[in-house]
Amino acid sequence: MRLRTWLRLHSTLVYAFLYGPIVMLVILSFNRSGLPTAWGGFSLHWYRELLHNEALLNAALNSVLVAAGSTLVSAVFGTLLAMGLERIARSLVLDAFVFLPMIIPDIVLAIALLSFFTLIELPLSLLTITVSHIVFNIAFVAAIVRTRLSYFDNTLEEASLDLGAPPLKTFFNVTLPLILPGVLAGSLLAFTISLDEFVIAFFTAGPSQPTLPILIYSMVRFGVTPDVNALATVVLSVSALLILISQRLGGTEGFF
Amino acid sequence: MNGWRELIRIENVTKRFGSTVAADHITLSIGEGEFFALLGPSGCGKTTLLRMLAGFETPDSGCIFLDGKDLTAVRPWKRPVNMMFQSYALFPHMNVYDNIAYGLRQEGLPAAEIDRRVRNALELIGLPDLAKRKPGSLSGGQKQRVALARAIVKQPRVLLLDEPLAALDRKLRVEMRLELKRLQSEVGIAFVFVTHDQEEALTMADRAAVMKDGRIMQVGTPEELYTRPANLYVAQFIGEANVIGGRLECIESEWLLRQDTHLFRVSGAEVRRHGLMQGSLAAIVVRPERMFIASASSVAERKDYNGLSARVIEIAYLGSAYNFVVQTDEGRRFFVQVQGAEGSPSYRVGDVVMVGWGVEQGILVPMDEFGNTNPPEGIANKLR
Amino acid sequence: MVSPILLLGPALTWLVIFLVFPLALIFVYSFLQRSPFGQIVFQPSLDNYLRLFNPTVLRVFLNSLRIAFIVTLLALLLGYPTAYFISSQPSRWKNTLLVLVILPFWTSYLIRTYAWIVLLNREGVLSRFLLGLGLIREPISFLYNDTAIVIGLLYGYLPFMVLPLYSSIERLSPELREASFDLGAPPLRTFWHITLPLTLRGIVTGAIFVFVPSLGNFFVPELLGGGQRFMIGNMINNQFLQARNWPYGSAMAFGVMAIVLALLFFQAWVTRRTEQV
Repeated sequence: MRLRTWLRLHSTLVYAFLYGPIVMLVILSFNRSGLPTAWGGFSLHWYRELLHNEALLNAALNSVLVAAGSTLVSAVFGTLLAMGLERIARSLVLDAFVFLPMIIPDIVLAIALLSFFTLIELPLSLLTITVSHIVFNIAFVAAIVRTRLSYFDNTLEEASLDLGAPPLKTFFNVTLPLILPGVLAGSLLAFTISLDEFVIAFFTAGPSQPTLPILIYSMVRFGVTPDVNALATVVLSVSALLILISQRLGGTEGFF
Repeated sequence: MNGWRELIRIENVTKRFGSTVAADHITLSIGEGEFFALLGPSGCGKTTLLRMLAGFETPDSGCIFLDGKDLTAVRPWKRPVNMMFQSYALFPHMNVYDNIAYGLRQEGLPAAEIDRRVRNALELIGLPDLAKRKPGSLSGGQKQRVALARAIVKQPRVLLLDEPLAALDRKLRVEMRLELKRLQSEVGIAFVFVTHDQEEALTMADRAAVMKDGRIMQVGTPEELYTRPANLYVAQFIGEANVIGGRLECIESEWLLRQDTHLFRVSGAEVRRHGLMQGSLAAIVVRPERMFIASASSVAERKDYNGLSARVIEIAYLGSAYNFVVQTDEGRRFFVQVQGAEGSPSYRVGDVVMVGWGVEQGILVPMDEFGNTNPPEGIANKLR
Repeated sequence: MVSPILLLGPALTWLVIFLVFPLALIFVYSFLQRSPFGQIVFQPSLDNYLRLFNPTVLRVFLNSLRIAFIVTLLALLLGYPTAYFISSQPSRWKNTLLVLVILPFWTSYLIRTYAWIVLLNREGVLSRFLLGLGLIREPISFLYNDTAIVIGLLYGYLPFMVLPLYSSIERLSPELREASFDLGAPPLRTFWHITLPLTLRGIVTGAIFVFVPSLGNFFVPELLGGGQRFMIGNMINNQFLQARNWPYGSAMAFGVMAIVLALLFFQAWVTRRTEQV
C-alpha cells in the first residue's frame, strides 16, 4: 500500500527531526577538537572540564535542591488533591483552576510570581524558585495520580473499612500501595520538569544563586562553547533516564 | 431450495494470522437470496471469512467469486457488498439521515434520488421520524435498524452481518430475529451472517456452515445439521446431545455399538449413511428430548429400543419441560428432557428409573477424527 | 472517610496564595502607572491597555500570532501523519514510538534550542556542510530570522501536537473507517468525511497546546532570533527586567491571557459539540 509507505517515510523524517539535533550534540561532546565541524578524535576532555567548573557544579546543586524540595511538597499535595478530586463530583471550574498552571504561558506565571514576591518582600532565592515550581508541579503530580485512581476500585477501600481498618490505616495499607506507582511516576516527572525549568526560575531566582538552566542560558547567549555540549549531554541523559523510569511506572500515559 | 442459483463461491481460501489459521482451505457456495449463517465458537474463523467477503482481509490463497467474477483483488469500496458491523459503526458526527445517505452519496447519485431512497429505507425499518437524530441518542434496537438501513439502501448483492444481534438484550434479540427474516424476504438480498449462537442460526438461516478452527465442519439446512450431523463436533455444537462412543459390531445382521461391556442397538440406516463398517469407531448421539424416562419396571426389553436402568441425580423444572440427569451403575450419565407435565412429579432424586431411546432416534456419527467421546460433565452443566 | 476538603485543602491553599494572588496582583498592576524610578504608582487608568495598540507593540503582537500560527500549522502537518502512523502500528511498537515522541519534550528545552544554534550558526554544522558541498562560497548564518524561530518553536512543541492527536485517532474505532470503505468511500474521502471530523477534538487540543506556549515563549526568539526578532514574550521580559515598567508588562501579559482564554473557550466549545455525538 503506497499510503503506508508514505506514512512510514514521513514519520521517520519526523523522528529524525526530533532526534537529529540531540544526537549531534552528543557526538560533538566527545569531539576532542571542540569544533562542530572537524572531528579531532574521541575524548572525554570536555566532561573532565565540567568537573572543574565550580560555578557549574554549584548551579547543578542548586537545581537539585530546588527540584527535590518542590517535588517533595507537590508529591504530597498533588496526591491528596487527586484523591480529593476523585471523591467529589467532577467540576469543570475546579479542574480548569487546578490545571491552569499547565496551560498558561510560563512567562505570565513568572512575572506574576516575581511581582508577588517583591510585594511581600520575600527576597529572591532558591526558596522562591522552589515555591514557584510547586505551583505547576502539583498539577502534574495530580494529573498522573488521578489517572491511576480512575482505575482504582473503590470497593477495595470500603472492604478495608468494613474489615475494621480506620481511614488512616486504610490509606496506608490499601490505597497508598496501590497508587504508589502513580505517585512515584508523578514525582519523577515533577523532579525532571523542575530540574529543567528555565523561565520561571529565571524570574524568581536570586542574583547569586542561579540554577543550572539559568547558567546554561547565560552561557549559550554568548555563543557556542564546547563544554556546553558535554553539559547538555549530561543534562539530557539525566532527564531522559528519569522520564523513562517514570514511564515504566505508568506515568505520562493518559495525559491528554 | 427450488431455483437455487449460485451467487458467491469461495474457493479453497486460506488465511493465516501469524501462527493461527483463520481459514483453512475453505470452499463454500452461497445462493442468491439465501439467508446464510456462518456458525461457530469465537476464534473459529467465521468473522475472518466475513471480512474477506467484505474485502477487509485478503486471502493468502484461494479466490472469492461473486456472480462468477473474481472479487479477491477488488477493494472494499468497490465491492457490491455491504456490511452491518457488530458495533453498528454508525458515524457519530452524522445524523441518521446522513448516515444512511452516506453510501449513496459515494455513488454520486442525484440528491432527489438519494432522498427518495433514504426515506424509503427509513420507512422500511419503521423509523421515519428519527432522520434528524444523532446515533448517540438512539436505543440499541434503533441503532441496529439504522445500521441495517445504511447497508441495504445501497442495494448490495450481498449483505454481510457480523453478529447482528449480539449487542441487544435477550427480548429484543428474539424480536429482531423475526424482523431480520421479514426484511430479508422483503428486499430479496442474500444475507450472510456470523453468529456463535446456534439457536440464532437455526431459527433464521436457510442454510448454515458450522465452522471450527478455520475449517467448515458441515454445511446444511438447520434440520440437516440437527438431525443428520456429519460428525460429533456438529452434533454437540448444534443442540444438546447425549453421546456414547464405542466400536461398531454386526451380530446376526443387527448393528450394535460396544462401549466397555455394554452393547447398544444402532440404526442400520445410520451406519450406511456414513459408510461405516464392522469395527469402526463411532458415537451414538441422542437428543435429550428424544430420550424417554419411565418407572423401573414398566418397560419390557424390545428390539427397537435401548433401555438402561439408572438413578435420578438431578431434576430441573423449566416451565414447559422437566430436565433430568440420570446416572447408571457404570457411571454413564444421561440428560433427559420431558415435555409438559407427562413425566414430572412421579420421580424424585434418588429414584431408580428406566431411561432409553428408540433405535431410530439414535444418530450415529463417525469418531475417528474428532475422537473425544462422551463428556458427561459438559452435559450435566448444560442442565442449569 | 476523610473529608474531601482536607484532601483538597493544602493544594488549593497553595494555588490561591501562589497563583491566584499573584495573577490578581499583576491584573491590578496592569491598570496602574510606574514612577520614573520603576516604582508602582497608584493611578488607575486604561492607559497601559490602550498603549498595546500603538503600532510598534501591535506589530509585535501580530507577528507573534503569525509565527505561533505557522508553528501550529506545521506541527499539525508534521504531527497528524505521525500520530496516524503510530496508531496504525502493532501495539507492542505503539508505546515505544510514543515514548520516543514525548521523551525530548520532557528534557531541557533550553538545551534543545542550543542544539539548533550549533546547527544553524555561521560556523555551524549546516553552514559547513553546504560549504563542503560547494553550494555556498562563504559561511552563512541561518540564525536571526523568523524561520529559525519557527524551527525552534516547532522543535520544542511538536510532541504537544502528536500526543492529543494520537489519543483521538486511537479512540476512533477502526470499524468506522471500515464502514466508510464498505459504503463505497475510498481512503482519501473516508479520511475527509470520517477520520478528520472525528479527530477534530484532538486537532483543536493539539493546536492550542502548541499555539499557546509558542506565543509566550521568549528564549527561543532570544537565542535563535538573536534579539533581532521580537515576540510578545521578549516584550514582557523587557518591561519587567530592563525597562522596569511592570504595569505595562502586566497589561501585555493580560493581552496574551485574553488570547489564551479565547482559545480555551473555543476548545471547550468544540469539545462540547463533539461530545454530543
